[in-house]
Amino acid sequence: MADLYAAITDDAVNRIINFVHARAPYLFNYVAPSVRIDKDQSGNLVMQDLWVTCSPVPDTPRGIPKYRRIPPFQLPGIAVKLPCSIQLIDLTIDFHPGDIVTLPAQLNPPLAAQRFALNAMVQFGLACVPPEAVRLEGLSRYGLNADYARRLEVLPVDSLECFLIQIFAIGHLFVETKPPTPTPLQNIRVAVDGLEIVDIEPKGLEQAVECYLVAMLKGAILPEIVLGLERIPVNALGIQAVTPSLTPGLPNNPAVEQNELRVWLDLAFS
Amino acid sequence: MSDVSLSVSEAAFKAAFNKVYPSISLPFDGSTSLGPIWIGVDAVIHIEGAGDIDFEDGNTFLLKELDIGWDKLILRLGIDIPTVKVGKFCVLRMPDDAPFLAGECLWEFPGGEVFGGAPDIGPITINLNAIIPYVVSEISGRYKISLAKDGAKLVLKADVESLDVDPISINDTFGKLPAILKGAIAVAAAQYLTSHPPAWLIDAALGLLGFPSVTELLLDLLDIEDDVEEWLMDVLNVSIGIDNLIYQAILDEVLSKAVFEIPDPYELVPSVTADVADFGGFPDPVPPGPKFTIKPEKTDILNPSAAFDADTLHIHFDLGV
Amino acid sequence: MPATTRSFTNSVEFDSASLGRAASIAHRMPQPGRWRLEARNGAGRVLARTLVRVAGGAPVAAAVNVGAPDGAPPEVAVRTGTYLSLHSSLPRDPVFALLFAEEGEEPLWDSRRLEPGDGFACLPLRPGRYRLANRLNGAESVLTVAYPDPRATAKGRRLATGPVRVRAGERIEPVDLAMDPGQPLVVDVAAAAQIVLTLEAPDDGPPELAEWKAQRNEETLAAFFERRTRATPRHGSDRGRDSSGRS
Repeated sequence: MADLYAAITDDAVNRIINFVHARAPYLFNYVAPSVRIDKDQSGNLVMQDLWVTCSPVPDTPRGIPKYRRIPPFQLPGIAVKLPCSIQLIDLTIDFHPGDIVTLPAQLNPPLAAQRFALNAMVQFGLACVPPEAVRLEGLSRYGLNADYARRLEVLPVDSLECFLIQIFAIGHLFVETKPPTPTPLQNIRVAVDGLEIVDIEPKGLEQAVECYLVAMLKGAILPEIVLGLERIPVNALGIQAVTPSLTPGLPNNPAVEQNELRVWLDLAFS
Repeated sequence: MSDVSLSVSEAAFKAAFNKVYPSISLPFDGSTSLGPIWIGVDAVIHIEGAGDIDFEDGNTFLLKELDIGWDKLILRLGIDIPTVKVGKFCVLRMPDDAPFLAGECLWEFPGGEVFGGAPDIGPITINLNAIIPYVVSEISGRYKISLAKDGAKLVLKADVESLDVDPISINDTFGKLPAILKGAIAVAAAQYLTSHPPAWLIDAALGLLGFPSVTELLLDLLDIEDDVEEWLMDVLNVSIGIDNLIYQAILDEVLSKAVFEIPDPYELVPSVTADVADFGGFPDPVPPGPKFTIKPEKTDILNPSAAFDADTLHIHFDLGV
Repeated sequence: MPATTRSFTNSVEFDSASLGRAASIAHRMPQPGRWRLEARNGAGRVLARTLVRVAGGAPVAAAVNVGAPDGAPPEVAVRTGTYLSLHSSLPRDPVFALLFAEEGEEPLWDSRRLEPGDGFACLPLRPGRYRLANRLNGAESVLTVAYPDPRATAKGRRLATGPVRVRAGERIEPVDLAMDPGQPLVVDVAAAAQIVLTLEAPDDGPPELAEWKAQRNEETLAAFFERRTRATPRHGSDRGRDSSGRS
């Protein structure tokens, strides 16, 4: 019998996501800022970040930023880098059985056992490049001489071209056991079983984007995500000096079932 | 359905319980008089932990064995040689068949006392630490659990509902206890002889009491029967009431302990220290930088509950988001 | 008040004319009436006065502590024909007593000079040889208090109890007396007497006694505990559980 069992409902997870969305917007809004050029009292040029987004982000309490900085976009052949923004407008998670997220047909609903479903609304904003800005000389229209133009990090814009996409994904959790001696480490990881972006035409483009996204997830993002499901329940109860490990011999551990994410742990007290 | 459910097994609960239970040293003492003998005990114990825990349906659990360790067990012995009255009786008595005043005492001689004052011997110290491994104490208790907010934590507390301390028992000490007592009596006899009146007076008193030696007198006063361990158990349990002394000593210590502590408010996003340059959209004033700290995001714990069901402790609560 | 250890055991001498601890004088009161008893110290100072009422219905015996620290009782009653006994608990001052008629000036009886019919008792505890003498007529006898040998006690012998009686008349009889410590010596006075008991040769017991005692103590302990070490092992779980829980 397991020493410690912990479970959380998908409803609670979604409420937590909404809570954090409002309180820590910098986790959901990634922006490569534009630049604003002013003249100060002495007539010198002053450049400041101009944070341009598609959707406005509500004001935050003191000391809490709205945006996380990402590097600007570089297109080959274009002299200057481009501001952009990626905003996670909405994120909903659904543990099996799927009763919160309605999956599109391409993901073969209903949600299979031990699977979770994700529905995310992501808004992208890209800066449009006026033709004059393609070459360095054209940047004089901004009142800059060639010297300053070279120092311009990013294209000065005050609006972006925005588009909203809706992403559905299904996935499952798996345990990766790395065998260094003396004890193997257990890492709980996320695997994507399917991804569907809604409403991109033509279909070929949609599939290509989906393909890149899945590859990016599998290759770069997901391997970085290790769920601390072993430590979190132990820390929640304030248990000290104990080494948790997943209880062996169970059909699924961790499990995604009955609208809950569940984990069973054995505790080795030291 | 509660937002968060946690279940703890009996084994895990016992391990967590035993982390908080081992205690500091708890000293206690007590004494009693048994006729001419005065006996005191001077001991120190500490709580080691729970031997066996059984959950009962509802919110109580049975602690079948609370293990204690003995750090010190000292016996103190004082002996008061009984007052020996000499010569007080009737010098002149009318014969029983006298026509008048038959049997009456006409002249009583007051006599005198040979020994008085207490205690004549001791108290001498008998160190029983050597028999600590053979002392068995059985303590059990019924506990009630409850959840209570304590500062920035929600605490699962175990409170004693009833505590039961059995009389201690002493296993066969394989001669250790007899040897210790033998030494103590030899000390007592020697102490008495060196600090007291001339030999002829002791011999006269012993002669009047009917004992050939001080040792025999002491052994008679101590009234040790066949089994030395049983004698000591009776002295400690029945005469001194050591089980009650143990109960008093540990009661305050075991009364209420926190077994689990849930942070409340619960931290959903931890505090982060990062470079100002990596972020934007600060409300005025912008942190001077180069680093700044984002405070953690927390939420309250609502509707907590804790109850036992068969062999499991179930804890549920909601999050205030 | 009974004597305590110290001065009692240091009394190597008893003198009926100077009443001290562990001694008693008895005087018969044959006539009913009222008498005055005065206790005086060695210098003649009056320590206390007691009215003695002798009557038919009074208690059978009366004991007066003439050396009581707070004074002898103001009044005492004794039945006609029985004995008035005197003793003293004063630590230092020997006492004698005089008996007068209630308002009389001349003493009718003086305890420093016992009369036939009186009695004197004392408790010679210290083993040794004593000389028992009547100072008023020179009669003497020898008294031996035996050493209370623990070896005899080990064999089952017990010290004799009960008074040992001598008669002090023209001679003191028996001439040679033996007794155990703890027995009172009772002198029946048959002639005018001042009875004095003096310790001439103390007896501290045979020299080999110390070694015997050490050995006896050791053997006793060994035998006692050897018997008890062979007791069968006990198991703690044999004991029943106390069913009452205390909260």
